[in-house]
Amino acid sequence: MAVIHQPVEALTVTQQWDCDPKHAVPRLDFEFNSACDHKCGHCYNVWNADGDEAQAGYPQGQLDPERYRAMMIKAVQQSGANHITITGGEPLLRKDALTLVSLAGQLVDTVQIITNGSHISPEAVQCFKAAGVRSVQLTLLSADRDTHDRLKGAVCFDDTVRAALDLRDAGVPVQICFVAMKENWQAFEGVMELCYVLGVRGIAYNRMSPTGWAIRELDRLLPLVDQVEHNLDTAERLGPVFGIGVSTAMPIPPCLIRIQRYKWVKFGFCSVGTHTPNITIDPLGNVRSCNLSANILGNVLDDDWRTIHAQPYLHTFKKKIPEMCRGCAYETSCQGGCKESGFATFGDLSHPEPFVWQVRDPQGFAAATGLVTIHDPKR
Amino acid sequence: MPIGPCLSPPEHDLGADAAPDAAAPDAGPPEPDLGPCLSPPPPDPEEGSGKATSPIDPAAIFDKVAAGLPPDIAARLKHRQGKG
Repeated sequence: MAVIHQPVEALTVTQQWDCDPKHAVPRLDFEFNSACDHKCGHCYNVWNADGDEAQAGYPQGQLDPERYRAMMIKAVQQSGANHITITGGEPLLRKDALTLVSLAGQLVDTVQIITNGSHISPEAVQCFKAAGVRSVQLTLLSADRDTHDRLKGAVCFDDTVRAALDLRDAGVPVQICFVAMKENWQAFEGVMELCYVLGVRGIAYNRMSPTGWAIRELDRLLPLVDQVEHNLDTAERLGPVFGIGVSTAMPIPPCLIRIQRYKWVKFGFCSVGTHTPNITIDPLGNVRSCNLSANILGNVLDDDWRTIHAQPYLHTFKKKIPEMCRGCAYETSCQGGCKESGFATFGDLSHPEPFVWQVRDPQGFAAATGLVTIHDPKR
Repeated sequence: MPIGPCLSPPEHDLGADAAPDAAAPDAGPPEPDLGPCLSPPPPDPEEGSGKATSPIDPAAIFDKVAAGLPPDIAARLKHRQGKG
């Protein structure tokens, strides 16, 4: 289905682009910038990889305001996208961030903003409201200030909670992201309670999936399967009581947790290669298959969208499956979890990702990482 | 940097025309025995049914949460709570 975009008015860029329906996608993620003033150990940003790490060497920098706007317009119009997710880095550190949010609201029907919550000024709230932002995603790693701030590497808990209230009071929907890690999985119930009190009605449940510099934090942060399952049980128990929808935002392999047990929690698998891919565009206009991938498919300003979208990486990705997953009933949907995490950590898209490998082959995992994990057979 | 969804987003984040097909397993339910890592059999029917199984005490939850918040935020929440 081709999406016909109306001309964007009041912009210096006047060129309009056509969408080839064969290469249309429903959504795009724009990374406004790479800078962030939080220092999360679990941060997945690929430009933080370094040294001999598999994702090292990712180009950094950002387009100037005029070229960035031109890039956004071309990307949206050529791809036919009708939803934009704005992320980063911390997107609101970009000086022209609010102008770009307004542009996003003009270009597509729905906009989501993922922000660290430390820069939600009254001006930003009004901008989001005027742009019709569908939801703002903030992160709460604990309902305990000290725990949250320690894991975020910044003094930010109060700002985040205040931002949630300010947005809600202005009528801008808020979604909370919880990242389950070895050091905070027990805080999930408290975060659900905090969301209930704040009036937040949606949680994106992540289990830490290492890419970027997070691959250096496996020992400290990688959660165990039992810990994630405990959280999902909590979500299943409290979600309907609190009226809080919970969706997993990282794949939960069904070989590890019997996901059909859950009626309230919503699950999903990797979207690369599907009709709703999570294609991501970095601050320079480089296009990747998702925000965890360091593989550049092309550049919006330099290349035609059809050329970018036709890159083999997007279309062969689903075939790269860990050997241990061959023959599984979920082989074509689960694909072994997050393959970009397998690449970032072990240098191979077909390698089992750490969350899976630690359980399915604990000896191999221990030999490769030097880490020993504990899986409680009772769970 | 908050973690963003790498999956197809929840339905409420996209229009109804773009329901995420990736969210639906396309291979059917798993075989009964997929390996040694599976969690135990489903819980009792009352659990995991998506329905509330016990009442909650909103005031008690509020007091517990508010104790960990800055006074100005707790006051705002209290004011809101007073409005029902």
